[in-house]
Amino acid sequence: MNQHNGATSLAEGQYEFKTDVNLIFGKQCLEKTHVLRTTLYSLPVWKTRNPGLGLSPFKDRATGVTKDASIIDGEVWIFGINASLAQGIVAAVKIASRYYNVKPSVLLSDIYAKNLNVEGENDMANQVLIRVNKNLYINTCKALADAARQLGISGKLNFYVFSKNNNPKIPKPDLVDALQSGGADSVVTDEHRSRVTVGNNQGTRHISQLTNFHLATLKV
Amino acid sequence: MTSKEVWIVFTKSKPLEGCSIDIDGCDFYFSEAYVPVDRDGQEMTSIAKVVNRAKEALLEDRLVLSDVSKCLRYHKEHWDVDTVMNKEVHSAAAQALSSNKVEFGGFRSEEIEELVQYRHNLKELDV
Repeated sequence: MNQHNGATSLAEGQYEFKTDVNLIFGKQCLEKTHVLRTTLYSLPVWKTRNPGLGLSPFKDRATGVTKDASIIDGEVWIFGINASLAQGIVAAVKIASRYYNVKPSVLLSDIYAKNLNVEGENDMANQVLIRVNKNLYINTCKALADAARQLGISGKLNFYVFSKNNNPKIPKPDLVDALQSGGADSVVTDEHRSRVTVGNNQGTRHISQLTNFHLATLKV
Repeated sequence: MTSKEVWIVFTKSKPLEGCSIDIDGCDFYFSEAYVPVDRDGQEMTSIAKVVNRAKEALLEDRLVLSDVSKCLRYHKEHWDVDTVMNKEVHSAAAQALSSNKVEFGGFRSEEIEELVQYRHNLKELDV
């Protein structure tokens, strides 16, 4: 049995709708034993978005930057991590790899994100939103590869993305284009779709849908 | 005497640009609106008013109400079967009562709506 199945999730919005990091292609599951979950939201904001959720927060300064973290259901959650900046990803992976006592590559080989979407969309026309969302995916791919290099990881990263093919905020052709511009060698889409619940950025609404599942391979 | 009650409006609505939940690309989204109402004595609650408040709340989320399939008054005891869905009904209704604002349950894309069937059971007493 492989004891070291790990994964990192990006841009978690709400505990209740956390990203499925066990899913792989063909509707198969690969149970991850070492999971790092990251969210853009700071700890105070996270608390208001997830009322009633028990946290055991601690601060970690060991990586040079102070990060709020918590263990939830045996998984490491790190707050205030911007997925499009390598520095934060590096810090989060370091904290989690120390907690689990595994190499960073265990956590960062498989990365999951569900519907990355920039803030402030209410003021944007869809065409503008698609453009900024493409940049968000491009910068996230670059940040992941950069973080991997800083952590001494070589080889490839599997970046799994949940996003519906006709998602008006970033349709599949734009998503694929962005992932490739961000450095993906290949982008493939699973023929199976999965049912997910997705919260909006404001944390006020959520939607249940059948979504597509993509895999971008990033070379480091 | 005034009392407070909650009405559940089963809505179908069309997204406008800038709608935060429009990530599915479907034509219509479905959700239940929980509308708190002050009931004045013996006067009957106006269904039109209830639906209108749901409509206004949807528009704040950049959704245009296009159809209502059901509108019913929330009675806690009608939803006493212990399911995930009923839990959401209770918590959304309680939230609507305490906030005095229209609250929504989860939204569903059209494909999900086809998979979901709501059963509303009225208990028959064995007398």
